[in-house]
Amino acid sequence: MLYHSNLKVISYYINYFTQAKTMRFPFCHSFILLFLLLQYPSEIIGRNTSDNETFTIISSKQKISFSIEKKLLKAKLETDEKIQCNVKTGEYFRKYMYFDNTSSIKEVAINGVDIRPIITDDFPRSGIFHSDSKLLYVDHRFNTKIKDIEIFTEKEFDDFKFIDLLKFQLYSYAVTYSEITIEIPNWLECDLQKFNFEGQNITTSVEEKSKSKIYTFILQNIPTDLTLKAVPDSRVYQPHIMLLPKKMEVDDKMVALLPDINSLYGWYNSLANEIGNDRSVLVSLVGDITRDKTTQLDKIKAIYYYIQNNIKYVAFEHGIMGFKPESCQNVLKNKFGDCKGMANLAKEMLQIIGVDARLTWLGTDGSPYNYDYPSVYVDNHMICTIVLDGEYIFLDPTEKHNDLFAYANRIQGREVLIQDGDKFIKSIVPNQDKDKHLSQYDLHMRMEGSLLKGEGNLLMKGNSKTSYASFIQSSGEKNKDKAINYLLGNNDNNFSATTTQIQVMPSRDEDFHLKYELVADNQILVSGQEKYINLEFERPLGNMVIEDKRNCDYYHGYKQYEQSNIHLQIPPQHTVKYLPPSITETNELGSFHFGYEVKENKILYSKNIVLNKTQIPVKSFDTWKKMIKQLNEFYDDRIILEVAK
Amino acid sequence: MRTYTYLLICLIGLSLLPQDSLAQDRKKVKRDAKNMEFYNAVVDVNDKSFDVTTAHEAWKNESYVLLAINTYINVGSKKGQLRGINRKRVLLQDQNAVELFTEFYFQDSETILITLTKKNGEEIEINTKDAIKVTTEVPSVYSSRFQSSQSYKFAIPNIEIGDIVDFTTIYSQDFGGILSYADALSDSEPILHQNITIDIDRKWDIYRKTFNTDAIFEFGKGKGHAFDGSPDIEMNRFSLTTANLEASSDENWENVYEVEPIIKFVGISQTFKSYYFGNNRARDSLDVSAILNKVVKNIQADEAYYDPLTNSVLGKVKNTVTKTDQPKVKADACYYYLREFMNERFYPSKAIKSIKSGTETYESIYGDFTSMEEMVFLTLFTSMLRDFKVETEVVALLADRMGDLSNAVTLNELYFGIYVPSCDTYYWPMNKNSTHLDMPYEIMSGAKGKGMLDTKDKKLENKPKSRMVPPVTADHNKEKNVMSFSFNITDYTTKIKKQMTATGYQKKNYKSFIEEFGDNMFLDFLTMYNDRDIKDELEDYKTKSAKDKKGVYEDFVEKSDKKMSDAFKSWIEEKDTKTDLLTFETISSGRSSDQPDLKVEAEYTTDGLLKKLGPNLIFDIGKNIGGQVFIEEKSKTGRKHDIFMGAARLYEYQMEVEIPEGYFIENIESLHKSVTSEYISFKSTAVIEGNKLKVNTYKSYDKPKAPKSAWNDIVKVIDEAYKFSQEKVILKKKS
Repeated sequence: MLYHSNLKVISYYINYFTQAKTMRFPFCHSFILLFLLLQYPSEIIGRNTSDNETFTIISSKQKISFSIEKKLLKAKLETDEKIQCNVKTGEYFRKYMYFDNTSSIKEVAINGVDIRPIITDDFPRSGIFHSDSKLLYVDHRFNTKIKDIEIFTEKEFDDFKFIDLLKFQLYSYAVTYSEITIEIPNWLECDLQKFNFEGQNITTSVEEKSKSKIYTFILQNIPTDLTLKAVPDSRVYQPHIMLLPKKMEVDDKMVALLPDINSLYGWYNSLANEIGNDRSVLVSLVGDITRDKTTQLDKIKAIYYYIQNNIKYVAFEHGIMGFKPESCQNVLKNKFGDCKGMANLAKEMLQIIGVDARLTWLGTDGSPYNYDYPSVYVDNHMICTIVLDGEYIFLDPTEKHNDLFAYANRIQGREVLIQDGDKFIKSIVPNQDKDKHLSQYDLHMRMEGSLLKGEGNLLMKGNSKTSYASFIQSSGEKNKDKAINYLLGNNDNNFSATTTQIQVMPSRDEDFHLKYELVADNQILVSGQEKYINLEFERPLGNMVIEDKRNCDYYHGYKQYEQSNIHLQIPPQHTVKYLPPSITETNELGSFHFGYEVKENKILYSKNIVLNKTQIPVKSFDTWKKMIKQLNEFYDDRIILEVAK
Repeated sequence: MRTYTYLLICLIGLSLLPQDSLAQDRKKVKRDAKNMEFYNAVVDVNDKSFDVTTAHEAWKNESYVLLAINTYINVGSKKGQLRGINRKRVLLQDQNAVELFTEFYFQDSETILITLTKKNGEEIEINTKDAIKVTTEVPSVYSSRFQSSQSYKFAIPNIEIGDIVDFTTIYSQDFGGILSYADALSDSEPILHQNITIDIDRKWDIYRKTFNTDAIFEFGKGKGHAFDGSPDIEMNRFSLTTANLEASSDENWENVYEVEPIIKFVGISQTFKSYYFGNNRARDSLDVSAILNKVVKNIQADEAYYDPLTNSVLGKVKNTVTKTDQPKVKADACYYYLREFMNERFYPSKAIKSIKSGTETYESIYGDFTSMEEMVFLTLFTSMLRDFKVETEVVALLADRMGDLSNAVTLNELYFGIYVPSCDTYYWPMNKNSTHLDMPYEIMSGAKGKGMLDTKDKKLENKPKSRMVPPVTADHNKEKNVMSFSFNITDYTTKIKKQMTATGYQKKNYKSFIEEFGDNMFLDFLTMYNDRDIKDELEDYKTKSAKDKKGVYEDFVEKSDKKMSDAFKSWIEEKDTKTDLLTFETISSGRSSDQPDLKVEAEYTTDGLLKKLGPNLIFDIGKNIGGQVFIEEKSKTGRKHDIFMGAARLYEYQMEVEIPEGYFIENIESLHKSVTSEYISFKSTAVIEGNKLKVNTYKSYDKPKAPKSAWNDIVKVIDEAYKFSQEKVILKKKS
């Protein structure tokens, strides 16, 4: 469409479809508000006039207290912050808070004057179409006259399950003094679960009063957040406190709140029991889908893949629907649902064919919590578990291209609560063997003038296959060739990759093979009688560089198992003068081998990468940095062939 | 009993709802009913193009196909309001289309109807009543056409591949008496059938034209509908139909004005006729003379509103101006000063208020404030130069790429500026943040139009003269980089000294480096802001001691310097490399007549250019000339359209590489390249002198456009420049 400013397009000519489509990866966040409380969406919280050093939080005091209203436990969080602007020119400071239908913001005051904040119920967040969470914010512009301000806020929680996690650092700015005070009345039994306190100089004190105990935690001189890539969920590394109200005394009776995981499950299960599934509307469809399937396993696959193919991920997380799955009949009718709705539909359809299928709660990879803590903060996802021949199979219908036995990285190794009537089964999604997500290729190259040309055979399994499938599908049929070139040519103009293979979309139940041809330009350098040849076209892991002052894990989000062999035919009259020395490294993160060798009249460059972790923990940084430095030097190096005179 | 209780609860519930919300709901229901009446009266439900269910076989790989589009606009009212209906019928052909249409957005101001037709023919009406209010996050695919800030979204259930989505939006909209409608007919996906119909009062003046298409607006005298939808012989109908439009072209370097099927349609109500359009009716181009005549009269009439500001600026530049007789020096002095304040937050408030209270308003003509700035500039500038006895012309020009002046149909296509005949110089309204800096707009090179003298002499017959901005040559728009490289062979970092000089349009690429204010501007800058916070700040600033004032200014400058060096750093930084900026200095700002070129110097280190290679080193010399255009093999042949390369310009690099002790360079042949054509050329030379490798490159775009027959020659040059960018030099270890 026209895009030049001097030909203004007026609005009443509708062009809905002028923009290029973007790739969409379904990413399932249930219970989004809880997640948002700790994940700052930078689009909202940052005004672009300031960087992390523009302000200092010279004092941050948070105080939480409890009360009983109509026999229900309520909490109040008062926050008093003093903010200093570090530059003399005007800058905007944005105070922001989240709330939903279980909480409310009662007051926002700056320097003692009540402020009417801006409230928005629709703000950028990954994957959620709509939720009841709301963002409140207020901008204060510092000027040359006043250098610091005091902001007071009061937030009330009507439901104790959703009391905020208490963090010492609420923004990315440095904090001089941060104090969290929790007053637990004698009628309330409440655990204070501390996270990431180790290595932090947090002073803790307890003051016993006649009717309550006051816990005070102080942390001083918290540095500015660094601008980092691949940052994990801040709950993984920032010190914070989770409140776990267990029991309270009302009218001389002890009332259970969420004393343990049984009660948390009990609440979840009660919601699941209220879904109102009408399985009868599924029967005919299930019959159609499974009609020509003879084994139970084939029927399970047919149902699972049907949901993957036909139900889109669209998440409405309004009110209790943030926790309660949509009914199976509605999800089927709409052809969309969130993780809970899709898991519930899978469960219902599978039960029709007699499979023991159950709803299953879990927190995905990156969450620091497990079910030792009876808190709604533990989970953010729901899947469906099949019990087949005494074994569990975990189905995540939000994963569009997974086969039945391939688990996404984000659920592997995660603790799950499997529905079991009034009880539950605690289990763990297994970490899958590396072979399950192997990516392997053999590439046979030859030198033709200034070009390297060759044929390759790529094998993909598990997650490597599903990532590929997502990309190909999102590219569309029209752009299929471009997508193949993009993937196999490493998005580098020096490479041109083509395939004559008709079927380029993998099927779920088979390993995927792709035969292709590759032409590489600018990989041969000539200097005198020597030719310098680059056979490393991808530089895997090479960009995973740990920043100097990084203080949190490096979260890359995937495991990797790659085996590659690149063979280069040595042309006549050429001899091998130099091969870069091999690298072999085995450490707590995996094993890595990169090496060249001459075999008959070929140079074989082999790569073997096993990366077992989805994140590089801080304690492994030295190991990782050393390896990546060595690896990048290896990648920069080249084979040297000498041409006979 | 139960029923009553329920009713009571409902009533209580209703009473708790905010009254505003209820009133709004009622308003919406009323509006929707009215819109539906209009829809039923106007839309031909038997339109066969909306019965089509299949697309051409050739389009089977498209994500979706627009089976039918119907755009209807009714401009019958004299109240400055129009009504419109947009219908689209979309066949979804792949999963991406399904995903795209599942989440649907619309504006608060429109009534929306959606029907989903399943493959088996079943039609499902989609209920939009539960749509969710959106305050942010409207995907650009929708927001590009949204006007009101309030929008809604909903998820369309049960969509599958092969389904057809029919959606209609019905709306009404206020406008300023000019219907100005210009767009491409094609879309990113193919269109099977398209109709655009405009019903408009027959007394209105109509300008209409189509480009690059055989489709034309058919005229139907008295065949239109009235604003209420009823047939009305007072209403003329203009209707255009196209079919089988392929998806928009995506060739590199094409001029959309020569390639895409474009329509332009302008209707002007009688109320505004006297302003710009005279009495010519149903023309296919603007009467630029009449427009200029009116602009000159208007700016003269309005200049009194700006007196306080004009006098203030006159005072600032008086010293410079009174010392010279040269009109260019006078004009430059006024221009450079004024330009600092030509930004979107500039409100010469008293003047604007006066204009707003007048009967003839700029807003009603231009419809937005941004455009008014243009007129503010013209008024101030001509008024000042008149005071300094410098004659000016107001010019209205059309960009060269849009063709002849007769192609101008909508007013917004014209660029207004000031021409000073005595120094043969054009001055353009551009604000501080403009990418154009002090140079004419890039696209104005070769622009043609007319100029009219700013004179109050009624005896003088003020006829417009034809004017053309002289086309610029490549020399005029030059970027020159002088770079020296030295290596640390212990840590393989490269130290680079760089001096970059940009002239002409090339400066626009570096505007982020030069956003500073001169010290004499600082206080004025604060004064001109009509922001309450800043005004407070200003008051505070005025009360400060001289020392403190200096401190505030220094802080401001320091921050500005940091911004510039940060911008420079991000400009030189390569992905996955470590770059440390050691020094950065602006030698010449490129923003005033005494500093016409932008010149910056910097020193920095990077680990991205030198690598160890066995016993030797490899240096990425080619990378230093910046990213070069890469043309895919399949695009090298079968060029369909002429080539539009933008302004003539050149890039020159002089690089000097210090060869480290103990190393030598054996081959530099590949660094020698030379390909020239009539339109574009690339040359590079390399020589080793002592321990220095000296490499020069020179790439020039000599003409802004070329015929498609020149594509092969152009590709050869582009390829060669790209190849150079991939060149590396081996520094061999001496044995």
